[in-house]
Amino acid sequence: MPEILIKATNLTKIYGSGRTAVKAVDNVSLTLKRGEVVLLMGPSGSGKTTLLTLLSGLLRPTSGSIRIYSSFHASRKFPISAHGWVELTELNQDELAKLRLEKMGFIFQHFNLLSSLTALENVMVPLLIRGVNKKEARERAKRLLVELGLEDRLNSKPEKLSGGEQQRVSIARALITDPDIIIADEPTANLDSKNGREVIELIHDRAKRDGKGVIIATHDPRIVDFADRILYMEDGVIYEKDSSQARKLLLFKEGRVLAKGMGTKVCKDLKPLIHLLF
Amino acid sequence: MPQSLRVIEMIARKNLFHDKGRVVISVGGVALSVTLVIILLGVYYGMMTLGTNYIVNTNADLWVGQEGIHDLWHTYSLLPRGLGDEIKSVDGVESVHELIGRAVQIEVPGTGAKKTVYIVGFDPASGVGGPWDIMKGSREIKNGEAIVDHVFFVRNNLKLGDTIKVGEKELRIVGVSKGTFAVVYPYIFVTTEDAAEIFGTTQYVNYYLVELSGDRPATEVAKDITDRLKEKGMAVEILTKERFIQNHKDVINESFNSILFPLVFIGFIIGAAVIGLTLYTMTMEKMREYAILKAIGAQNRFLRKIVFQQAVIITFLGFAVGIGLSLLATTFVPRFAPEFFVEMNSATVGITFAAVIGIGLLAPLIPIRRLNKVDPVVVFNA
Repeated sequence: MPEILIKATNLTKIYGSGRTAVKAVDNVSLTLKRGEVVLLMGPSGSGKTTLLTLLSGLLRPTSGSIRIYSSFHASRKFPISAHGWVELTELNQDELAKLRLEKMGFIFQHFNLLSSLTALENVMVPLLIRGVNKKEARERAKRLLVELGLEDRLNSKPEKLSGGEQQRVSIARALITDPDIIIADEPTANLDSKNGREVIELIHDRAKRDGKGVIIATHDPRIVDFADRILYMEDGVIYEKDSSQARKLLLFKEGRVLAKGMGTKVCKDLKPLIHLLF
Repeated sequence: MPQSLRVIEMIARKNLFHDKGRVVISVGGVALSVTLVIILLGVYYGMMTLGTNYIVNTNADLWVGQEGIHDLWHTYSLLPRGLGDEIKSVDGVESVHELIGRAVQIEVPGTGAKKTVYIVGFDPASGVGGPWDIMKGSREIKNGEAIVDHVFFVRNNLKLGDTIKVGEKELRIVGVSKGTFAVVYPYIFVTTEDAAEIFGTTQYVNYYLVELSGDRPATEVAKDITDRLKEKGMAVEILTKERFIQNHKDVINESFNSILFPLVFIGFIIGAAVIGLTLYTMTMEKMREYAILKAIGAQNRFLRKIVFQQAVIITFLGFAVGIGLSLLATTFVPRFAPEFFVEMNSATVGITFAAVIGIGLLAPLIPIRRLNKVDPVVVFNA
């Protein structure tokens, strides 16, 4: 089983054209490995969310390649190369939807649960879409929710759940199909520190235990301890630091990530403040 | 049910019933639209029944009238008395009965109000041309007596034994008949002699009613009668029972269809609009949730099926409630308005069901168009 789950090469996304063109992602290359937790950090508007949507096949890149490893060799749901790679940019919308269903789990800042369904039903949905028998889907969803400490909230609608509980349901929904890749967008942003920590611990533990690759876009400095790698993004460009350095150097002020020693133009103007703090 | 349909059904149902108030309003809207349509169609079929009831229930296979006759209401037939024997001599004729009948104004006892009724003079001995369903009083009448229609009886607060006045002729009510309100004219049955006196036509009758015997086709017998009477210098028009019924239906169609069917159409449009608006607002409200489903791997056709399933649920619930309301209306309204006859037959229900299926298919089109454009990227936005 290969170690690399996502291999993105020279990804560029340009919105608009001509003089109004905006380069949201600029020639980005990255990989995501099995069992790895990667944080994607950077200020608002830096291109983090665009990059996540490209990696999940919800947006098409202007140029570049995104390859996802698929273990479904026998599957005819989408074209797979002889080496087991699926090129996202070559899939149509239906194939992309199938790929997301098979290979990816999503966790969102606003939880994005279906308001009319109970916690249990929300978790069942991806299985049911995949055609899993309702009884089996119910059993599996129940087991997972119990594992995540939600045994008393199975039949609660999202409106009756706390933020932390909603995010745990959302995590259960992302995990229920046992995808290789978890894509999370600000999963702790709407949670207090206790719940935020619990949620990120949960994601981290699953990644390590089950060998999932996790990529998290975040502003939250509290979760850097859980990252294997931190990618810093600014103006659509990625600057990578290893996690031990980044952990020491990251500081949040007014919503901007300041990274001492990254040697980028972003940090240049803020050097006096960084020197003062460290 | 296939697994994919189960999940679609579950999400559709849960989404729909999440806001129960809206379900009540939309199902109620469809139900009222269905009720309106069923009642309008029921009124149409009711008019057809009422308008032809007399001819259907009169034991005449052929109606012999003056040349050019079309129906009892718009064309006037006058034939000399005494043609009965001539007609009866034609092969295949079992019996011949004289009928005198036409619309006339009468004075209602007590109020003195004038009402238009259709007076029918028939032979009480044979009963042909007379009332067939007596609700109250006697079936037997003599000269000076009358059997009146139930609607006329109720609407004018009459009692058995009351006297109605037709011109100078007074007639005592001895019976009340049912099913004899022909759309606009209530029937009043009197003896042939009284009818002749009322209309001053002792030498004439309006129709000869012919009963056939044996296997000879009615059209052949009609031709023979026409030829026989032609030899006597008499130009007549002979209509089979079926033709005569159809002529009356044609009159009703010509008179009411231009009003009735636009109303039926409006009823359907209202139903479609109610379903369409409900689905549209619900789809717009749930757009983010559809985007979530799309983001986690649902395809467009999966989302379309959810909206379509919701349309099916609203449509069927609306139809079922509408049928219930219509049954209540057809049962209870005639108690307060006896002339209001709504015939809820299989055709009424069938046409309405087919149309409701049509609007159920049509209504989700706009919401589905919007759904196709839902961008799953929005789920990443705050």
